[in-house]
Amino acid sequence: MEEIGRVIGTEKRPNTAYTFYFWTEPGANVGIGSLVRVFSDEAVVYGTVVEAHGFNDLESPLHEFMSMGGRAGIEPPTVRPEMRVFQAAVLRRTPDEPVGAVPIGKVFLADEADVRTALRTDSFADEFGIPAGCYGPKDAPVAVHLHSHFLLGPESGHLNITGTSGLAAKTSYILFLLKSIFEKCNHGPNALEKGVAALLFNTKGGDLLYVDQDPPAGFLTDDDHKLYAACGVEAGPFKNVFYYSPLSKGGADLNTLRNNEEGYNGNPTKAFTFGLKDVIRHAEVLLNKEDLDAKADGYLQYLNDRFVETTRGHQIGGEGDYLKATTLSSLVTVVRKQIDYCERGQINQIDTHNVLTIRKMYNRIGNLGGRFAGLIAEDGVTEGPFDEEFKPDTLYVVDVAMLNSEEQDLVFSAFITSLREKMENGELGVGRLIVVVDELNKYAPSGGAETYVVKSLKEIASRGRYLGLTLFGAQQFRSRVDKEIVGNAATHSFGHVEAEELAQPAYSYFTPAVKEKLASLEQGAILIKHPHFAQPVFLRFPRPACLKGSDGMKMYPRKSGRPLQDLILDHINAVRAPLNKCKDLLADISDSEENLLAVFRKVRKAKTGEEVEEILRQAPKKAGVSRAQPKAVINQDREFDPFA
Amino acid sequence: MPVSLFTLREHLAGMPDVRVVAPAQRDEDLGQFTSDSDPALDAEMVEDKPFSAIPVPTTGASEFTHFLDGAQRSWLVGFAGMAPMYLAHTSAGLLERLERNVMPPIPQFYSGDLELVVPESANIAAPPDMALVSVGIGLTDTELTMRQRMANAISARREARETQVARIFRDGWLLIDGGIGKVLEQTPHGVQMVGVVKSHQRQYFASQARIRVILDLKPGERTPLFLRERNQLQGKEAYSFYLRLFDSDGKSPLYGLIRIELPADSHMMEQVDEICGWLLAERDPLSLPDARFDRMLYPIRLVEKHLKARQPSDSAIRAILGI
Repeated sequence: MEEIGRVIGTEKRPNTAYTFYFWTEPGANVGIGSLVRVFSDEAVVYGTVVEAHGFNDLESPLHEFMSMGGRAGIEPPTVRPEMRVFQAAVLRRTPDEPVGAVPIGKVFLADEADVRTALRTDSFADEFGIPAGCYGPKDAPVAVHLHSHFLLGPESGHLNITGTSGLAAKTSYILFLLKSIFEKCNHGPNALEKGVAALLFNTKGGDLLYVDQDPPAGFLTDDDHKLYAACGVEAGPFKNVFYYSPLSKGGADLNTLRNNEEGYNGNPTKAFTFGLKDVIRHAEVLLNKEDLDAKADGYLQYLNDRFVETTRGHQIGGEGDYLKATTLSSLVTVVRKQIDYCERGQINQIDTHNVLTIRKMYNRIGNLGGRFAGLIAEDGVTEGPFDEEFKPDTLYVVDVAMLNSEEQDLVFSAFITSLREKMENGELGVGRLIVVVDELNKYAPSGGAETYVVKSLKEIASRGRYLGLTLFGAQQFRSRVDKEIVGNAATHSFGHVEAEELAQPAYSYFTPAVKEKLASLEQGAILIKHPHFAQPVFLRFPRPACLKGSDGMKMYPRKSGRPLQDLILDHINAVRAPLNKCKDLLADISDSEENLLAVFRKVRKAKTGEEVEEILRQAPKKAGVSRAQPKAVINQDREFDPFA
Repeated sequence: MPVSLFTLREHLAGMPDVRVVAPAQRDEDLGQFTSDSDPALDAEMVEDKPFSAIPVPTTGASEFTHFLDGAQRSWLVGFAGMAPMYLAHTSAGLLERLERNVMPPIPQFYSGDLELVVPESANIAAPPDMALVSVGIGLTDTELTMRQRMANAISARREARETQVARIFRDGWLLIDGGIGKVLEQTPHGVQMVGVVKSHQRQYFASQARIRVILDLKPGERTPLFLRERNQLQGKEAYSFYLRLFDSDGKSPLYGLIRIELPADSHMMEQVDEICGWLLAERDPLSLPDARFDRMLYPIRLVEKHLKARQPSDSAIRAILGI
């Protein structure tokens, strides 16, 4: 063990129970974030360096200037002695009691055993530890573990990540940590019951669209491999990933960069759409605040109760057919009929709702289909990752990078709300579901309105850890995020943070030196706070062992304007339907764009080859080709269909 | 430094006429009191040159390898009758310079300890873990002369430590803060050492003309060598000369003026200009913020810092006293 210095306590700056000072030998390998051990007869104290001071015997810079005669280049026979004094914050002391001032003692650089003791990971690392990165020199990194019960729940939970965008401070760390969590919590003797899955939103470029593919050879450096080895985490891509994206405006192709079949790697992107109920539930996101006043909100709820969430439907003005809306367009039709009814009868309200309110909502709802084309299902049925229960050891990536801000808000709001509902109902399907939310300062701003999204995030943050839902929130500006959401996170990590942000009161907890280090933190390094650590600790983590978004986009450029037949074939392949047979069926169906689009929409939702075959068989045929009759198919051989 | 649980106050309790006082009257500036400061004659010249300013070549380099200084600090801690008693810490250190860095003293080149300085007549026994220095006080001594005797005894202890440390020095060039007479008495012939005397308590010339030459020296000028004779206070005889380090225009005539002592050896005489060049090189860096920076060479200041760092603090003295 390397002895590097001694504790000092002066009258002006005495040591306390939680802070101490020590000097070091010249050239000692110690700096901000270093872990040290103080040994004395009284106690062993572990600390992390939080401030550094350098001294020589000068009282004024003028003395040195005069001393050198203003000549910087001269080299006097004697150099002024220089010494380094470091301030350290106490991480742990043994024995724990009494908690007295740090004793004067020798100071050593912490070794692996010291690191585990200092961070209290010695008591849980083997059973509940999740490697969160490494401490120590590059050639001998030491893994530092987080307690799974305190990161994922139920003891405490949630992770908040702060970092400057584009500097590998957030996404890269999240991917590494998820990889680590997946390996430790889904496999082996200490796996969590029902496992862990994660849902991520890809908000820009192709950041998260190729996380199931190997990186190019040589992408990971030796240092990266050492970090993976120290953490006991495999340096490889995620094994089980589902990708979802909305449809493009035309409703045919997927609105994602990941639509190149070569880049699918046998795992095509699936579509997600929102149904009518989602539209009504998230009206506050879809409509302007000014539009959705109390009257409009009341009218929307009325439409929902009478025409959507009802079996029989509702009459207009108590006469005529019972109308039921299943799609946005059918709801718009209902509203149009109400207006027509008022105009015909020259009445100014229906079921207590003023015709002016109805007309206003007709205008607003009427253009939603256009504004959110591709997101709102033409058939009114919701589809996406919530169709089935989440599976353990699986990453769900929702690509919203191609959407505008308004559309992203809708997706985010709908997903968070659905997650919250599934959480409340215990329908997540896995032991823990991690939802990764970037740009928290946008979705849950500090001092902002109490929107539905904010409420949902607060619910998840406050109660999710009991119910199996863990929030990994990330943002560039922590000081601008709702304090309740940040405060409910038990673990916090900080990558490179801009100096302006560090000047906010939220960072007053850190010493100036720690702030300076944060402001210049290199890629692949973070500062992490965890309930088991008495003080934040600087760690290094390896690059994610998967294909980078920029590389993936170059290797698999986005394909646009693909024929609908090709898109249908993609799905035929995805569900492993008999290819030749389906090709024959496809060749027979009417090739009008309207027909092919309708077939495509149905095929996209099919889960088995049989369903696909049946859809193709029932589709309108080209002139001269007869339509096949529906038939029951039981235990049919997929390779041989005598009725086709 | 040993710290005994048995305090000095407890040790001295019950002794007749002895009282312990709070060490608030710290008296570290007690100087050495000398009585031979007025020369009757000019010192004997040993260099065959007229007594005028001699320019010294400067090379910017220095060959000094080791540096010696002593330090003392004392606290008035009690009285035995009228006579004061002191706790005195005296020390000496000889530090080596390696690659422009003055290194901390190795154990054999450091001597220092805390001692109780008492009047001999008080018959005070030595406290545990602490040496006693007894000083003869006459019946006719006044308060002032008692303090003078005590101060001289403390200075003598420091000088003894300096000599103790320096006498084992052999290789290299040693620069000593102060005269070299006492050290020369204890070291074999041929040891290379130079003394720098910063204070001018004693004059070596009565002639006004020579005094004028000395006071008019410009930076980088020296006087010819003269003989500083042997005496009890300064020890063995040595060659000496004055050297001006910094310009004294507009300042005290003694500003930047030092007196150098060399072993009285012929080959030293041949090297005197070279040695002056070394001393001039040692002007950088300045010893600021020390008030004596015009005469205090920086390596000597570092030795002094090392020694002072080993002195007990006022708090430690209070703890030892039990006050």
